[in-house]
Parts: sequence; structure tokens; C-alpha cells
Amino acid sequence: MTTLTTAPAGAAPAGAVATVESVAAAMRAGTLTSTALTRTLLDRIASSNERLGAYFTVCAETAMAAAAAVDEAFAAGIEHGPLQGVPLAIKDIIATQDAPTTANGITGLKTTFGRVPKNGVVSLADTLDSVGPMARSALDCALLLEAIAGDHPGDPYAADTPVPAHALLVTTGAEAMSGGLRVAIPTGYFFDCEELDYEARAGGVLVAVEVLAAAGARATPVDVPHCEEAKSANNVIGGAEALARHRPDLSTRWLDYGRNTRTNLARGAMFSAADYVQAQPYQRQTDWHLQPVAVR
Amino acid sequence: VTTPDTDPDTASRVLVAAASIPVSDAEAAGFAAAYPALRAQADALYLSLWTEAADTGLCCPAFGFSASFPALPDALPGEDAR
Repeated sequence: MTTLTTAPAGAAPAGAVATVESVAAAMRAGTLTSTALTRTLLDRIASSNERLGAYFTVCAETAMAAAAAVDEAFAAGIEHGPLQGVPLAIKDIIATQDAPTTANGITGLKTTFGRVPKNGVVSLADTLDSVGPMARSALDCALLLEAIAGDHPGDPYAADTPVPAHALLVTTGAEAMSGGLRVAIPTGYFFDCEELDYEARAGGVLVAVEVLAAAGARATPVDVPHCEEAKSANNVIGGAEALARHRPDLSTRWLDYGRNTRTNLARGAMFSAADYVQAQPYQRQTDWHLQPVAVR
Repeated sequence: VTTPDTDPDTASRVLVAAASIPVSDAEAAGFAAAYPALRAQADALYLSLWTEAADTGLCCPAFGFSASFPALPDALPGEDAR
């Protein structure tokens, strides 16, 4: 067993900022144990959570027991998959509404609706919610997505479609792109939107497109009509579904919700049942227009 | 005439109360301020897509029907063409 490298004063300890890929490799090489990594992360949480408030529940004893069991499995040569021994945190789907979440230095993946089953997730809007991984890198997100994606009887919206080898696609990205990776660029509303400044568009999306195109991907502009109305429909559907899901708790535990979260959830009361019905065709129409994009 | 629909404060308070949500006065004022924009978003859904479909004869499977309406005759049977 190798003890984690001592970090410079003030810096996060090694392992705390490592990737899934690197710690998984170190565990298989016998240079890192899950117990040591888990202890490091728990110590980091203990030292910073009072200031950051990032964790609501810390399952320290459970995590350490699981880590010890995993280390025994490693020692016995038992393989449970690429995430074996890697500590994970679960974020509530609505836990970001009270704070900005951009520029946080991590990689997040907004998955296709239905790609990851949502049973067990505290719902925001049943027909809009999607859950996905947040990690240090695209490869880590791919490893996590492979583990959590797929059909599940506990979620009627879960898609019964095969899960691609996402991690392999990431590690062989150049070949995949030269083989015809297609990137659809939604024009119109998405680039005219006043809420996005030019730097956000040019500095983010367009530069990323250039990088992908330079690597061999085919970038194709696509027109998705009625986006403005689709956004309104999204607000109506999301507001109504969020209120429906949370109304019992909003009525009895109003102050247990964060200030911004509770008012965002309650704004669904401003919409009527007819509004919700009227929004449905826009949801279906947007989906209909995006279907061909997926196969171009 | 001021109706609940045109008075954001009254309308939003009625709707929040109907949902049994115990908001503070400050939060009620926030809902009243947001009410016109939220209603405008919802009201817009009753206009453009359906109107455009009827005007252009758009046939969209997403709706589950064709909006290509046949031209109406000048007069229905027994009806005065005027």
C-alpha cells in the first residue's frame, strides 16, 4: 500500500482532485487503497464542509466499511468493474437552484432524457428531469455514465436502448470523429438569445465546435423552430410538474426549502391546467424536430 | 374593470393560497411582480404555433393531425352566400 502524497500547504490533498481513471488505475496497480482515498476525502469534507456547506449527509462509517471490503476484493483479485473502490457523492437534482453552478472547474454531462433511470431521485419535473455524472474529466463522466445508464423497471421513462461503450468512445475520440461523429449546431434562437452574451457564445460553443471539427467531426447547422415558445412551454411544464411533485412538502415544510428554491417551485401555481395541456404540443414538436438531428 | 386576472397581486395571492402554500408577505409580493411575465409566457402558447399551423397548412406529426384544412365553399347548403 502506498500512502497518498502529501499535498502542499493550503492545497487539496492528492487524491481529492484525482480523476476516476487515475485512482482506479492506482488501486489496480496496488499503489493506492480505497480505504486511504476514502479517508482522505472524508478528512477533506470534515475540514471544509462547515465553510462550504457542500454535503448534507456524510456516510463516513458506511463509506469506510465499503472501502475496506473493496480493498479485500482487490487483494483477492475480485473485479467489480471500473468504478470499484471509487468514492462517489450524490447531488440532489434541485440542490443547485440557490447558487451559481458555472465556472466550477468540473465536467458535467447533461444526458438525454431517459438515458439514466431516475427512480430514487428527488424529482423536479417528471417529464423534463435527466440525471447524469459530474466529474473531473470527460473520460470520468463516460465511465460513470456507463455504470448508471440503462433501462430500469423503477422508472417508466427509462429508455430501453443499448448503452454504448462511452469510455471507449472517449479514449478513441480521434478515430470516432474521423469515422463521422456528427455535431448539430442549433442556429437561430440559441445564438440570438439575449441572455447569452457574445463571449459566452463565441468563447464557448463555437470554439468547441471548431476543436471538434478540426479533429474530424462534421458540424452541421440545424434549424429548430419555435424555440422561444418551447422555452415558455418548458417553464410551464416544469413549473406545473415541480409544484405537483412538491406541493405537499411546500404546504407543510415551506421553510425547510431554500428561499430561492421554494419560490421557484411554487411559481407553478401561476399556471393553469389548461396552460399545462397547451404546452404539451410544443414539447412533442421540439422532440419531433430534434429526432432527425440525432441521425444526421 | 379590475378582475383578478388583471390585478397581479390579487391573482397571484389567490393562486398561491389555492395551492395551500404559506408564503410571507415579501414572497407574495415577489409572486405578484413575476405574475405578468409568467402569464405572458403561458398565454403565448395559445397563439403562435396553432395559428401558424392553420395559416400555412402545416402538417406536423407531432400534433397527431394535419392542419391542412380544405378550402370552405362560398356557402354551405341552404346558407345564403352573403
